[in-house]
Amino acid sequence: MATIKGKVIDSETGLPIPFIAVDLYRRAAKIDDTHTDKKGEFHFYDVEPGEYVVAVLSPIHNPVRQKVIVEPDDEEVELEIKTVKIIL
Amino acid sequence: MAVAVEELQGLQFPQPLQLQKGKTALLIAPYFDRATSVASIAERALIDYLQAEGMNVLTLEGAEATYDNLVKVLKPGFVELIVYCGHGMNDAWVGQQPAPRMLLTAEEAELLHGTIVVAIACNSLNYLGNISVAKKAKAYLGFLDLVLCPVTDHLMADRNYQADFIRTFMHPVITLVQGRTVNDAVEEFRDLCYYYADLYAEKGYVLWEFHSFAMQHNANNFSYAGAPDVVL
Repeated sequence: MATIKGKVIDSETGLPIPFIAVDLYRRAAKIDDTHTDKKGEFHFYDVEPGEYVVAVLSPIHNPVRQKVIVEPDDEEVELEIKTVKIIL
Repeated sequence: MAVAVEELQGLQFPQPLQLQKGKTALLIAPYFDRATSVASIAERALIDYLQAEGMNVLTLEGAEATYDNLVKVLKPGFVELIVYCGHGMNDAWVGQQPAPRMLLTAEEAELLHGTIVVAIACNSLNYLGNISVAKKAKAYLGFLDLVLCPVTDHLMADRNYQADFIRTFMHPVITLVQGRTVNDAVEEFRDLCYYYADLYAEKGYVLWEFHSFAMQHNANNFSYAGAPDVVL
């Protein structure tokens, strides 16, 4: 079992985005959800080896989906997700 | 694809109606972030469209989109149509940033006197739109809430959502230039947004739920101040 650890960043400002929803998908089915903390970080714990999609969702940011592969030997998989505000 | 190209060969598009020939439009598009860059694509496409319709087109783009330049251009009776594509607030157009001041605030609403305004900008219909009409703008079409302006990336390659949103932003101007009313422009904008929202749901493109929501959100928050039967 591994932990998927990530950070969501505004690609224009370079700043972390706090309190944004993050979903974890496997084979197109949502299996977990969380949100970023005030540092823009999130975790999914006890993730089995396999291929996943991490989706970042917010009404005012561009939606992003990022593939993540958890290998059998992985204890922690880190990723950085960049998005951008889409409001005028 | 080759078939589609062959079918287009020899295709004759009708000449523009040129109902507004000789009239003058001012198109304003600051661009300094992703959202304004997307909105400015609509502005660029509208330049070509309006010129094909025989209109005179003035522009304030990027760093030109400042209050000082706006005042120089907006001489009384000179401009019939103003299109603003950029960040907005309840009582202001933000314009290019960073800048010492906003492009236009409610205190300067009389500058819009005699014009029809289409503001592709967040929130500005709430106050700036109404005060502009009170100060004798002919009509003000704009948004009562945030405008969602998604950016397409390579993971959404099955649908160019960004192009669809740009198309919707252009539509109210096209409706007006074709001689229909401000009420028609708003209704047709909503219809086009709902068309795309339904299409996304029907086709199930990647991330269709978000983009369908965004289309419906934009549709539900676009309206106007002024009389419904105003025409350009």
